Amino acid sequence: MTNEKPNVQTREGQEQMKALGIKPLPDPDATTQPYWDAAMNEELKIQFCSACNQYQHPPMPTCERCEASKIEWRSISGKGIIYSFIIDRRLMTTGFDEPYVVAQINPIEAEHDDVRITTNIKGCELTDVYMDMPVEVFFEEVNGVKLPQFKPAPDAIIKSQQ
Amino acid sequence: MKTDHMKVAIVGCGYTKATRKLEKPETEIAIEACLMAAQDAGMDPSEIDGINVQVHHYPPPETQTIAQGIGITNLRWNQDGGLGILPAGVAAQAIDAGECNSVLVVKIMNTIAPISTPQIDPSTGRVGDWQQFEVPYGLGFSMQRVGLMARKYMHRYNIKQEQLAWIPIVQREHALMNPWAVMDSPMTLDDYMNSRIISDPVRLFDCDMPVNGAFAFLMTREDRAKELNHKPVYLKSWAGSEVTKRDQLNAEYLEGPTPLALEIYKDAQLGPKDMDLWYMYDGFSYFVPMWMENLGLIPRGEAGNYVEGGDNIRAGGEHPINTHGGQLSEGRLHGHGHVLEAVQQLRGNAGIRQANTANTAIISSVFPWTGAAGILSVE
Ligand SMILES: [Zn+2]
Repeated sequence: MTNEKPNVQTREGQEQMKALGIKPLPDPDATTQPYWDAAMNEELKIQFCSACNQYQHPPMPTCERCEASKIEWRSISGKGIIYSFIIDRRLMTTGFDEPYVVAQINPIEAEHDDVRITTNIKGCELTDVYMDMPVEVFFEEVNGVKLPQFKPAPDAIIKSQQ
Repeated sequence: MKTDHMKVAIVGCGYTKATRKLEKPETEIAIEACLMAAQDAGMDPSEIDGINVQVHHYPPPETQTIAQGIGITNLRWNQDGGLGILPAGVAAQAIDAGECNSVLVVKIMNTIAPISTPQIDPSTGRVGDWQQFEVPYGLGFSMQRVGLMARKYMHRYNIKQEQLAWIPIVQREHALMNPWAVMDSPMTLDDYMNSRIISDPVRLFDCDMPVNGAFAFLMTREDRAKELNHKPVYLKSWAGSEVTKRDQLNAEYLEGPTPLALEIYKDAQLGPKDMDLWYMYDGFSYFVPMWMENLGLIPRGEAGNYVEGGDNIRAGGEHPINTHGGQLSEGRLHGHGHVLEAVQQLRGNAGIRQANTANTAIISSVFPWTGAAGILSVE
């Protein structure tokens, strides 16, 4: 066995990484650390600019809209709706088994729909996922890291369970 | 933007055949395409004093070697890179500023380049920068982002795949009339609807076709252009969008043309209704309706109805789209194919593909929410 690193550019390398149990995980920096720290405590926090009274996500060093440098972190409810989603039918990213859903969520607190949290949708069949579906956050532990994930909210309509 | 002092024209076109495999060394095909462009224009290569080389792979060829191979003896201007219509604008600006007189703009496609995969640390799986919010959820490729945008777009306006399918279908019809196109068999609505789903809603037939080859055009000042072989095709205006770090996440424009579109119309003193031919960037088929609406060519949400059945957009229709087959069917030339075909049409040299009315063309390049656009005209 060599200690050569798997080549993530090839399907073979992706299979090697999968066999080793390596899954893609965040590598936080100073700007993003508060998001992942909150997730470790099973809290969803995103940036809020009090100068222009708006949320933004993903986190940036300053406010994207008004360029204010003072930006705070606010806890949000973790409730939202599906802005859009895809169903991957072919291996796209290492560590994933196709098919899988990638969705973007608009949190209910955010006024503009350009606040989008990328997630998977779990807790229902792939074909149950629909546009504007109400969803809520939960936290999934992956190799010691807690990832915010979303599942159907109680008022979501689940076709496969009807 | 527009040139302030003089008009700048595209005066020569050169192509190698688009092929599935690279058949000759890339430097050789680049020189071949450039010499064809010079010959097409009727300009001696020694008169050319500027070059822009675009590649999408690593390592890139030496621009000096290409310039020497063409026979450029006095290279006064060189700025490599860019995609589609934007480098034409950069070259026009250099000519207008007097930095050079005649510029070759050449694209080399070499599929040796791997598609760009997310920057995952192979030992730990860690992913930094903005990708840390996407890759841990399996979102890492352009096609997936296109899928997210496409589903949102179709949902917002109640547009069906069966309607937008007419874009790849009609472009395939056009490719069948284009000797340079790689795709050479017809596509039906059933063929499209039965094509493999990769990242639902994106199907295999929504993706462009990687090819190898070199593709060049020659630009020069108006006074010189008028002495050459063909009717000059002028670059009236162009603009690139401002790209922020969150480029894929910018708020969508939902009303009217984007600021980029307003800028190119204002600078050209023309409006969307004046655009005869529409060359919409089609790295993915869904870019076409989004660009049509971003450029104000049709009202928001109307693309599905406009393209359905194909009559409005096929050669001979009201506004033919991508008369060469586009990247979906001619091949992925990163927007260069759109420019070359627009020039052939405006000259009246497009043979059996020739559109009835071809005095102006609007060209878009790259993603509809971060790309560039420009206007070509015979006047
Ligand atoms: Zn602000």
